[in-house]
Amino acid sequence: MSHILIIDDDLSIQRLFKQFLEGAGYSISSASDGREGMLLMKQKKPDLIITDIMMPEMDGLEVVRNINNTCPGLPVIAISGGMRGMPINFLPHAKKFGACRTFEKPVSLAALLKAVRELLGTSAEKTDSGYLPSPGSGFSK
Amino acid sequence: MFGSKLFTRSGLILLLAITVYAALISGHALRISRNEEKKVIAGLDHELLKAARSIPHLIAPDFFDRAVQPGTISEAEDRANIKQLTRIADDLDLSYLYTLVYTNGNVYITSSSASKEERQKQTEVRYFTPYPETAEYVRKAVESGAPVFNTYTDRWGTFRHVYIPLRNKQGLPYILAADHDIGRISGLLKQQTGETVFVSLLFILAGVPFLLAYRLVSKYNARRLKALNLQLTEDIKIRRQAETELVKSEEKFRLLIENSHDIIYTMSTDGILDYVSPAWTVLLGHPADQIEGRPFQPFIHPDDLPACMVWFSKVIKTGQRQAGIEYRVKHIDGTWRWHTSSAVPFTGKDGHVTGYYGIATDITERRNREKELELAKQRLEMTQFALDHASAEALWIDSDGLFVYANINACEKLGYTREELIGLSISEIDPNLPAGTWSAYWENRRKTVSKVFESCHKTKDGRIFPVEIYSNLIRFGDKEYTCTFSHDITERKQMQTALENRIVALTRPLDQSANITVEELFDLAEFQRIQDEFSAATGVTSVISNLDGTDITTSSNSSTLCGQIIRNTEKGCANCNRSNAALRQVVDPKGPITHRCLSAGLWDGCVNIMIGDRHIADWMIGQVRDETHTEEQALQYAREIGADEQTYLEAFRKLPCMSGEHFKQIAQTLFTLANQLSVSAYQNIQQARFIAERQQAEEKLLRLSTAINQTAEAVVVTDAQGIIQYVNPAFEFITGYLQEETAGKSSNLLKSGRHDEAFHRNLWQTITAGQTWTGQLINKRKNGILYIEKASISPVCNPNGAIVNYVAVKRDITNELNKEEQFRQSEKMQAVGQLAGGIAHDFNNILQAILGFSELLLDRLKAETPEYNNVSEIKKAAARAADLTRQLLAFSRKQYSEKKRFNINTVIRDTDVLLHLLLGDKIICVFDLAQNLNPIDADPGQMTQIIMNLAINARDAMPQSGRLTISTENIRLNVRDTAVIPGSDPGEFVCLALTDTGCGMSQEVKDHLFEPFFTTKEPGKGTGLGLSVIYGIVKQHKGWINVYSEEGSGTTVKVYFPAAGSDPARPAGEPPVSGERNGRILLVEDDSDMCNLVARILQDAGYSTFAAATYTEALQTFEGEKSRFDLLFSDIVLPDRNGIELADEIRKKTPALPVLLYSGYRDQRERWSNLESKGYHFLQKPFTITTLLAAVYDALEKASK
Repeated sequence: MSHILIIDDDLSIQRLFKQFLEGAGYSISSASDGREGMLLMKQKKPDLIITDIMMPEMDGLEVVRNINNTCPGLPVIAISGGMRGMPINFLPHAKKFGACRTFEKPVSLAALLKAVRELLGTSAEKTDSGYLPSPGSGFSK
Repeated sequence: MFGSKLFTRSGLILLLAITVYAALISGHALRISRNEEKKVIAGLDHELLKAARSIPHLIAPDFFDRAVQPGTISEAEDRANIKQLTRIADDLDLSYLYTLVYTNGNVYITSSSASKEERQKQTEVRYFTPYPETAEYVRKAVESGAPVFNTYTDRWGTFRHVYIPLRNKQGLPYILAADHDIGRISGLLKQQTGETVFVSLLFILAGVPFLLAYRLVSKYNARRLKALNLQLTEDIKIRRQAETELVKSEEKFRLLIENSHDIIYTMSTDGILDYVSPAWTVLLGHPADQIEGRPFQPFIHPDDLPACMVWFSKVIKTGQRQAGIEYRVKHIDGTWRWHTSSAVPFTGKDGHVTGYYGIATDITERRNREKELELAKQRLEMTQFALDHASAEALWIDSDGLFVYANINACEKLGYTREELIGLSISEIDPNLPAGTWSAYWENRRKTVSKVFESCHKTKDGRIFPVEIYSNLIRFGDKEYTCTFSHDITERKQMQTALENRIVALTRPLDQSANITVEELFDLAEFQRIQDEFSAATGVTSVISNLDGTDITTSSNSSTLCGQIIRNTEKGCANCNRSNAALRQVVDPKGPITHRCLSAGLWDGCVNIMIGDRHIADWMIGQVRDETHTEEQALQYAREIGADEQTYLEAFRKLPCMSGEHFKQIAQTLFTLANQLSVSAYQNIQQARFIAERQQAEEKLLRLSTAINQTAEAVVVTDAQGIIQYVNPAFEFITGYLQEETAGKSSNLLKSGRHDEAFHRNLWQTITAGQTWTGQLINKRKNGILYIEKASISPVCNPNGAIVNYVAVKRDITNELNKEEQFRQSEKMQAVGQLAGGIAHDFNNILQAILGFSELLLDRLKAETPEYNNVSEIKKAAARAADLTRQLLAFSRKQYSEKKRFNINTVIRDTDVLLHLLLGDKIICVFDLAQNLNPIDADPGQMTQIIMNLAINARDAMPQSGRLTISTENIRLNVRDTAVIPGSDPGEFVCLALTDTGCGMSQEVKDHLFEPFFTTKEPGKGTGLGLSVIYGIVKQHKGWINVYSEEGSGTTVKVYFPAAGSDPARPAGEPPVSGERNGRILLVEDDSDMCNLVARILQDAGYSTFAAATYTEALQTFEGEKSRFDLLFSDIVLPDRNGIELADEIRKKTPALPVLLYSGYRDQRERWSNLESKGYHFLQKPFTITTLLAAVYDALEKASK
């Protein structure tokens, strides 16, 4: 079973992703900021990391950079809802720093799952969950 | 017998044998000759075929289509054809080369070469000559459709010919033909046969055995044949070579000659132009074929003809090349053109000159230039002469103030010789320019080109006289001079001074004229003359004196008695004075005062000279003896005053004597005269004053009208009915109507129809009530464009209070309002952007939760249940909200754009397929793309977004069908243009325009077009953010958008982007350094690890960084990169000096450079409280990557605003 580490300071989103991905057959750890996430990474040795960008203490960009420096090859998905009070889009930066996929919030769960599966190189961890991405299930931009 | 019988028998046998032998040998010889003839003819036929086939290359390509009936080919063309064909026929040694046409069963020659005899006879006309002799052959050829060869005899001789049948465009058969005279060949062959027979006979006679003779003859013939064939082959080879080279060189020379700018011609010895090249037509207008065959003389100017004739005969006579003749030739338009010619004679076979090749070059321009030069030289000489002898003093002064030229008059006037004067300094002759002042004067003088002023000149002997100087600054060669013309104005000055004094007096206001004197009022010389003449006529003594008794004029007709006798006595003099004083005491403006004087009892009179009611002088008359005055009484007075009686009496007798009545009459006359003089003097004063006052008034008016003419505000004067009487230039400029166009028109001329009746009523009510109306008017210019003006309209009343005029003063405030509106608009957009950016993060997180959980829920619920449908709706609504947020953000934020330098045309072409899909079949999409379009620095993806978005709007405006034109062009705007184009900046731009033929927009729609959430589409069909996103992108690229649209007549949206390289901060032509998409940052940090980290992060984010560790190093880097930075990003604590000092120093050079400083000291605000006041940004250490990037972004973004 692949292990996924979710780093997001928004607890409801943490819960959402955890519930969804566990349903899809992955084991999940969650952290609320970058620093905590880095500690958990050392302990849990996840196969994939999903991180938010704007977080207290250590932000997602630093998480991405850190992982890229310490565990090159470990896939990272960066998700951002934008920055407070400043119209900057950090996702291209995240991609530059080594994120494999980036998503703007809100991301459709189907799209997220598709990316997770592609990055982990597995077609489905659990086929009976029914979380197969179907055409049109994500909302179009 | 037997012997004889035997002899007879054997003789018979021998005879028979010999006969048979001879016959056999001769027959053999003849057979050989026949074979030989066949071979020769075959070779000849081949040659004929080739020659005939070359004909179409020698004559006009369409000749055969035209040469079908008489008269369709001009004589000139016919002659040209003859010439060409003859040349080739001669070269190929053919008798004739010609063409035939076969029409209605008849054969006609359509072109042909000419034989030598024909050429001499000059009867070279060939076209449509009947040629019935060949009809049979022609028919045969036409029927067979292949070349036919025949040997035939006709009126021209015996020929072997080939006829090649062809058909022209109309299908009419024609023939290409070549003839060869075979008379000669037949002769040769006959000769050959004769020789063979002769040789055979020789063999017989020599008793050569038959077999041997047979072999010998065969051998002989074979040798002959071989030699003949060899000759023929050689001939053919040479002919072929000649032919090829001829064609080649013909073509080369033809091209050279036909394209030469000079006229190339051939001239015969009798002066006939045989050939002229097409340049004749170009240079002189006549078609060349009209010139050929004509003598040259009529074309030459009569004055140049004799020289030309001499030259011509020299060419012919000497046979040598000649050149250098220049002459005039007549152009077809009648003008004369100058030509020069050179000639190379050519000779005939006999070695005599038969003509020459000539080249004529047009030298008209050169001749004209020479003529102009000559004239210019003459003019120069005349100018010099005129200058030398000018009545003014002419002086040239160089930049050092030394004379370099002086004319005769200057030398005479100043008393120097020219040699003395040249080299002398200006200070020697101009007291106003003493030594040492020249250089300052010169600096000032150089500012104006010409100047007129007064100064003084000093002669060699020190005399100074006033001059008026016309001075011109002249650049001659690489030096500057002043060229001055001076006039002595001594006389003018004197007259001017006198005149000025009188004018001052005359124009002095009356109440200030208390001290006005007679001298100032009258011309004294004239006054004296009147006084003298009056005395002479009446006999009385007369003098004009001031009120204090001093004389103004010299006394006329003064008597010895009063002047020399009585006044010489003490008592007499006192009496005289007393008497005069008494006389003056009485002032009577109504008439003269007369009395018997208190001295000698003579008649005295006085007339007061009055100016108005002011008494300014007295005109005294007197020294007249009353007729009752006896000598006794005179003697008695003489004794009384102690004068010599005898002298007194003699003088008394000389006095004029008259009755008191008479004297009073004289006094009355004088009174009238003086009165008249006074009145006219008074009128003079009044008139002068009137003139002066009027002048002042006029000057005042002039000042006023100048002000009105020069003001930027439009001024309109109408009469009481609103008919325009006057408009000023500003009005013309603003409205486009000229003064003459407005005169007599109603002020409604400018009415735009944008104001209702009530508005106009109110305006008129205000002004007709005598009040001033102020307000804003929307008016229409002449070109139909509306404008807004701030107007103030006031009535003008006459002294009775009636309104006679209205004056409107108006200011065009359209641009002001536009700018205000633009500013308001951009403020609004910015506010929306900030709002969107501010809430986006939280909003997106919320939406993520709603969307995500509804997705989870949907998966748990059974489809088609009400719960499932409800959650579906929640998900859909959240998705819409997410879409909206995304668009809002796109509009507001500086998107992460990958800027590249590219040509926008490429992007437009790439969208072609997409556009077709989008627009459908009903809308035609046309590209009108500028060639050589300047590239722009932009994100191609965003450009596509703009084009697609605008195309969608265009499509929606054309629901039925229509046409969308996408065009591009380079635009250069100057400051003046930017006043007219809203939102524009000066510089080089690339304009992308989309024009549709759709329904257009109302003003209201246009006003709100780029506002977020504004949409005219049905709910659900658009968010109203599309155009606002475009607005954001365009702004980000430092461009702007203009929309031109009217309801019902389509829309044009023009989007402007700065052309790449036109950024004033970056010199043109310098491409952006790679990797500096987002900006160039000077990074100053002494900790190398920290420095590397920050540099890496910034580089990854698309900035280019230039790192320095110290204050000094940073300044060096700054200089080294020619100050081309977008941000200074520095630690405050540096090893040598601090970051603030660094920022201060760099800001001196580039005051607008954004500065971002960071420090680990928490109390930065206390320590460096002046950071904010200087506009430096601050970042607290330690920072996360996002805060670092945000701070950098913020500093750059604020600077760009």
